[in-house]
Amino acid sequence: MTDALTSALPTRAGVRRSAPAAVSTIALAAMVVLCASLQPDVLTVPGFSLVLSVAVPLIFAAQAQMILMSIGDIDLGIGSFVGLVTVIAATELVSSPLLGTLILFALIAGYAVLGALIHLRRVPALIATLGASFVWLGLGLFVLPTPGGTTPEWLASFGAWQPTSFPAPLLPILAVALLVYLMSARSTLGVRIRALGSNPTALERAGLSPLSSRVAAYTAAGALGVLSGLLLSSQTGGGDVSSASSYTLITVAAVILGGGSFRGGSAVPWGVAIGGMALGLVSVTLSLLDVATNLQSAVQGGIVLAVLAGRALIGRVLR
Amino acid sequence: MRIPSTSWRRIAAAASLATVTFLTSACGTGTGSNGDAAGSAAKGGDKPFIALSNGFIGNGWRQTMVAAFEDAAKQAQADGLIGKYKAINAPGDNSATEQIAQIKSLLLQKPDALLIDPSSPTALKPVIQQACNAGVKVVVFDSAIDAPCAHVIQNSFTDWATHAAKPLLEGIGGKGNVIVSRGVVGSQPEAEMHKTTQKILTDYPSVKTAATVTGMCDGATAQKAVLGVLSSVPKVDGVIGCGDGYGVAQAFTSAGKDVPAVTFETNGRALNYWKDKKIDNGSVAVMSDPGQSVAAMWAALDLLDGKKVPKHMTLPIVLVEQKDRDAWASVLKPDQYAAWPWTRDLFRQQVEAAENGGEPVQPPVPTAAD
Repeated sequence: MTDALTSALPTRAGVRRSAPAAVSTIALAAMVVLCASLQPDVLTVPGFSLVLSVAVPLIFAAQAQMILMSIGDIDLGIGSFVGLVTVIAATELVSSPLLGTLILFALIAGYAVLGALIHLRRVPALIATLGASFVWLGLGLFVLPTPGGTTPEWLASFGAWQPTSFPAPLLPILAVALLVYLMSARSTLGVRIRALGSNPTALERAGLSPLSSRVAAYTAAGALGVLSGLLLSSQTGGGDVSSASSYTLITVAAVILGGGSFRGGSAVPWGVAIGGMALGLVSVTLSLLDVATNLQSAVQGGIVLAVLAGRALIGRVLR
Repeated sequence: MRIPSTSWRRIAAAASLATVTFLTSACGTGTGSNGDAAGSAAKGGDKPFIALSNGFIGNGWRQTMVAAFEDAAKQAQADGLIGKYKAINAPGDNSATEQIAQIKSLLLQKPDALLIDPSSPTALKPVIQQACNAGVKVVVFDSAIDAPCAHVIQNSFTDWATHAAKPLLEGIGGKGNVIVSRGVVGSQPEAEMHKTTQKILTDYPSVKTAATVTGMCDGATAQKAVLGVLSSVPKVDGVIGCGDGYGVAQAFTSAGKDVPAVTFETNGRALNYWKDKKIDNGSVAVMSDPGQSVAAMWAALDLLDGKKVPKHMTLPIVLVEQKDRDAWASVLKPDQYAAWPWTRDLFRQQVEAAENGGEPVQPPVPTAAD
């Protein structure tokens, strides 16, 4: 994270790019300090793991959302998709691991097809992914009408894994941010994906196919969605197609908090990790502060708006 | 009870939001920010800290359940039985992921016992195991959960369905046409209740099922569903439902028909309607008991004292028959549901009855003097 910030420091554009994430980082740090002052155990390894673990599947889904937002699309189906993956993980992946794995790959392929469809038929991604969300929901209800099932042993033991030397949830959060960073900022594929978001004409003039770039982006998003679902079911110990329905919009909030934009062209994997952690920490903070639960959603939204306002302010100062 | 103080409490909560956003580090445990769903007090030494996690707060039954717990816990705190209590409700629409997050942040505050009204029969298993591993006594109530380390307190859905159908069928003289209004089809409790209803109906061969609708145990939904079939069925003598009688009665009234025997909700609105309209046709009111949260608290205290509590206990359902109706109607607010007033002694008697196979204890019906 820090090297991403320092390497971005020299240029003015770089500062502008990482400023929103810096605002989120400050908010995150402030919340950690606040939580720790109310409950010192937050700073211990088990305490920090407890706080962070909820954010892990959310951050994976948010990285998927970030990739699609970097090409200027938006995914309204990610919540149902993650829910469907938990259902597959709790049913087929247990009864016949091979078939389950194949289904998960088929789901990723489904995302690739969705990307191709959006590109070839010029369907707005908003509509196509919204339509797809009902397909995911329907498939999930077909496989497992009521919440239930059990997750495979290896997945459950990963969910219960608690090393004493460092907070376990940090590992997947950092790993996925690094992976997405390498893909989006250090590979030609990443350049093509971002070019598709910022300047598709230039991409075409360069003789590169925008179709394959879009399909690649959707494939990566599908793969991250599958990982998110597996992690979620490792925490819930079962499958429930509606368990992640709130992810659809929270992932968008995480991307925006992390410095992404609706216009496309920018990839902010480290920012997304911070935005996701900040969102996860908000509810912990509110619970420690004894804010009335009936009011929590509103307060949560208020904090997100406050961080966004801070981001807009800094953006204006830097311009 | 709490209503007048709500608005300034909200202002206090909003003030604490400002505290967060302006990033001033508010030290001390949230002074003045005790929301209406949370009550905590100064540290009570080594007295236990009891926390309640509720998966969903969007209906009157759950509101009554949380209020019953808070009242009982406040009393227990005054009596020096517990040091501190806290009730949190997961925001959103019965979402298991939200409740898991809430339980995890509760665990950080190190409760001695955790009472859970679960939002999912499976998804809370790992986090409950985590709580048990941390040495917290876990009591799950309202619906069962398959977590070996937790104690479960429940109402019997078979009892519920039996009490909904039998008095009603007797009331209409054991013959005629009935509509069956099913609950949340696809859920496990509903399957159990529907099976029981079907079995009881076979004991009354002169009763014909004119229609089966899905009322979702919700007055408004049942009203629409029943209204939809009313024109196509013959004269209806009774509607066997699950706590949706008020809506069903509205459906019959708006269709210009006499209200048949129905199964009312156990809240003040439905009971007063039943009383004021002088409906006398075998109608009953039956629902599960929101006071289970209080019974769960006593179970947790007994467990902390090292007393024996069965792993799985079934407590009596709340059945309001015509003879008790007026007593209940006079003590309940419109959206408040009838709850058994569990005391520690009553709960202890119930445990002993369960262990020795004796008759289950029936808590007293409240009197208007309360």
